[in-house]
This record gives sequence, C-alpha cells and structure tokens, in this order.
Amino acid sequence: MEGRPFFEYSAEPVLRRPKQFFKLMFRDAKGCGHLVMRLLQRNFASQYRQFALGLLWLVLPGVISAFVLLFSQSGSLVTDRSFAVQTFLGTLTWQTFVEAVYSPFRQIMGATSLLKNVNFPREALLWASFLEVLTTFLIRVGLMVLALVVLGGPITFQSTAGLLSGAVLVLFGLTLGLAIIPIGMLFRDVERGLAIVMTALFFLTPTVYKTQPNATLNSWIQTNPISILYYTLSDSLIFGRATHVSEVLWIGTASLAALMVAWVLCRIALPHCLQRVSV
Amino acid sequence: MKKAIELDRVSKKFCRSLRRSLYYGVEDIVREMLGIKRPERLRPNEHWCLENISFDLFAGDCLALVGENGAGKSTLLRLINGLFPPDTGRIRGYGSVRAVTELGTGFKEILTGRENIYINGAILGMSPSRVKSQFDSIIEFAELTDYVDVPLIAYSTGMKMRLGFAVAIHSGTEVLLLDEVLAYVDERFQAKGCEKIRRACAAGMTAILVGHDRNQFTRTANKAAVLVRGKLTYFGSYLEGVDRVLSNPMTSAESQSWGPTQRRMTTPSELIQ
Repeated sequence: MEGRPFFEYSAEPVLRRPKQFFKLMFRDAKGCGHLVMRLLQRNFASQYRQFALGLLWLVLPGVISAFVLLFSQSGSLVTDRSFAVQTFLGTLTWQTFVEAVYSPFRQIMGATSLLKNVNFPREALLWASFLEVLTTFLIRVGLMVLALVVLGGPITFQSTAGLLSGAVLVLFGLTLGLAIIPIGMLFRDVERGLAIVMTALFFLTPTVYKTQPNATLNSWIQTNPISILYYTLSDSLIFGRATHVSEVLWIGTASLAALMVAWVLCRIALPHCLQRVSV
Repeated sequence: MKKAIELDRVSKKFCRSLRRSLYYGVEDIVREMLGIKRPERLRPNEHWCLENISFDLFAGDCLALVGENGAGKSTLLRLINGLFPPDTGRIRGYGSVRAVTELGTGFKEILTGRENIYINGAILGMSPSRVKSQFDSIIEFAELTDYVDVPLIAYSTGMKMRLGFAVAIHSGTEVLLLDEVLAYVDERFQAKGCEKIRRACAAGMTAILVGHDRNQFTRTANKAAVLVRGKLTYFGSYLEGVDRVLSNPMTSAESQSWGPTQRRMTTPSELIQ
C-alpha cells in the first residue's frame, strides 16, 4: 500500500546506520544552497537596516583604513608605511578570526526558536555564517588592496596567496566555532571560557605587535596557525611575495578535515541540545 | 489508502531539573556518538512526557490533537517533525512534513512581508520558482496586499500568523502540522483557513492541528487524538469521540479505555520488566 518511508525517526543511535546518516548529511548540504543565499541576504539586511548609513558600514572600516594608508604616504600621520599596513592587516586578521569563531555559535543560539520549531537543513545556518564572515573580510581587504594599488604597492600575482590565507583563516575560525557548539549550547561556561581563551590567544599572536627575538613562548608565537596565516597575508599584500604557502595549505586541509568531524558532531548533538535549552 | 504518518510506541522523557537535564544531554550525545543506545528507563528527576503513543494517519486525514496545557501536544508535533528524537519507538513518514507554530515561523521583524515570504518559503523547503509562482496567491490569501512592502514590526500577531499560515499552506507539503496558529487570527480568517485546510486534505494532504478551539476542529477534522498527561487516551473518529472527551474534561490518566482503534500498548516500564 505504501512505499518506502520518506523518513524514519527512532531512538536508535544515528551512527548505527552510517551510510544513511552521511547520505542525509550530504543531501542536506547539497540541497540548501538556495536557503543559504536567502539566510545570507537576511543576515546582511537585518544587520544593517537599522543603521542610518546601512550597508555602508560594511565598507566603512575598510575605507577609513585605506584613507589612513593614503595619508601615511605623505608622512603626516604614520612615518613607516609598511608598519601602518601591517597594523591594519593585523587588526583585520584578528577581527576576522574572532568573527569566524563566534559566528556559528551566535547563528545557532540566535535561531534557537526557529530550530526548535521548524525542520530545515541546519547546515544552512552554518554556511551562511561562513559566507558572511568571508564576504566582510573580502570587502575590507579588497578596499585595502585598492589603496595599495593607488600607492603603487607591489601587488603581484603572488598576492593572491593573501586571499587564500584569508579564506583559510575564516575556515579555521569557523571550525573552532563549530566544535564548541554541542557543549557550548548546554553549558554557558564554554562561551565565558572562550572569551578568556581568545584574550590569551590575542597576546600569543603577533598581529598587532612585533615579537622580540628572545621572548618566552616565542616558538609557540611563531608556529601558531593564526600567526602563519597573518604572515602570508601581510607578506603577499605588502611585499607581493607568497610565503608559507605550504603551511597555509596544510592548515586549510587540517581545518577542512576537522570541520567535517565538527559538522558530524553538531548534527548528532543539536537535537539533544535543542530539547534542553530555552528559546 | 496511502499511509502518511505512522507512530509506533513513541515515548519521550523530560527532566524536571535543568542542571541534571544538561548533564543527561552530554551523556546522551556521547552515547549517540559511540553508537550506544540511550537508556529506556527513567533516570532520577525524569518523567515520561509522552508515553507509548501509537497511531497511523492516512493521506487526506485531518487530526485534531486535543489535550490540556502540558499534555505533550507540542512535543508530539516536534517528534513528528523530527526536531527531537524519540526515546522509545519509531515514527515513519511517507511524505514531506512542514510545520507552523506560534513561535517559530522564522520571520525577521525588521524585514518586509515580501522578504519574509521568500525567506520563510526557503526555510520551509520551497524552491525559488515555487515561491515566485505562489507569491501572489500567498499575499492574496493572507489579505496583506497593502502590507507586502511594510516591515513586520508594523504587523499585528494575527497578521504574522496569517502570513505564516499562508506560506505553509502554499508550500505544497504532504503533511502539515499547525500548532495553535489559527488561534491568533480573527474569526473570519479562521473560517477561511479551515476551509483551505479542508480542501487541501480533500486533495490528499494530511494535517495535524493542535489547539483548543472546537469550532476549528469541527470544520476540518475527521480524526481526533486526546492526550492526557502524555498518554493517548483516545484516537479515532472526531465526531464519535471528541464530544464525549471535550464535554468531560479529563485530568487523570486513569481514564484510558477510550477509543475504538487504540492499540493495547506496553508502557516503557513494562518493556524493561
């Protein structure tokens, strides 16, 4: 009378049928492209609509950075241009990383009511947050590159390594953000703890300060993935050189692998978390 | 007749203590990841929120899910919608399920009605072309033509509900779950909504309505299910059963012998024994 069921929910652990689990996971990821674009549009629109300057805020920090850079050429504001560029890139790198880490968590927590009432591919929220952080980063860095081109900076083909590094940075941050969701949704300690960890990490990442050659923890400071991504970004945009590319690719690959694990984790944990947290 | 939804001894437990519930959450997640089945027995501070619910619905059925506050109606809808996993039993569906609830319509107040229709349509799984082709019908049905480009901040609760309902009913779903949505709209629109549901069910859609409004059920439902403290005390024809049930408000779970089609069900505690 009836064919095969369209869906089946039971108390059986989902990983006991891994084939079906992964099939559904990739089906959801593949089929949610339209929803991702709609959510991205919604996020940008709702974020900037209540501002008098609207979407201009998306480019304003970049524009101001670019202007200060142009100023720095005349020597009236900052004497060392490469220092100014480095500082801007450093701030941008750190800001993007923080946004990437917090973004998936905030997306999920902000949509708890929706997630508790409507069944839709939850991946869409995560991909939308990934694209949102990446777009913001690209707009900001794009304006900076424009200013550098005006200044006659050495923007070459190798500078594209900077974009790769930026995308990997967002991926790396997003993976960390995704990994904390299952426990972070249940226990708010995770969110508090994350703030402390981020502050500590900030001081261990030479994005806005120069390291002393003999500083303690120097080896960690130099090998920390965010530092490496930042070095590639600044070298490629300031000197037109692609450095640490293999490291960047390694970090990207490792992040991608970890992202898959975190994604599986989230998919399993979300229904259990949602029934235990308040809207 | 084509089966639409099949519930087989479905139970769900909830924990009365928040902190314990969070620890149980971690325990359940770890078990799930290791492929170990979650315990069917109650852990300290837990109680059965739904116990051994079994029924089948067929294409074209419209079920009135009745019960007092806290009886487990919304939880049952969430289980059917796949939002919460059941603790025992199995739910099978033979078509797409979409839900509209009083809270989770996914609307952003700052965006206009038009933008919200497109977003809500996408959330409910409608393709871009379907939303586009149904857009005029949605607006017309919700009677919001003058408000289509107005942000939702200016809408009343009833207007938002009308919009949410209109999008869902035009989504082309095979099973529609409505949680007290029509309770917020005026009487005229309620009648119109009921008529729309009735017609959609006549065309093969299955609906489950949760609410307390008997008028609404009389207009639409052919079947009724009564939940009393998480137990299904009646499942069967709406006309046959619900008069008795609604005129005798039941507060205890003892009055279980209702229902011509209810199966004899084993409780989870009996299962363990």
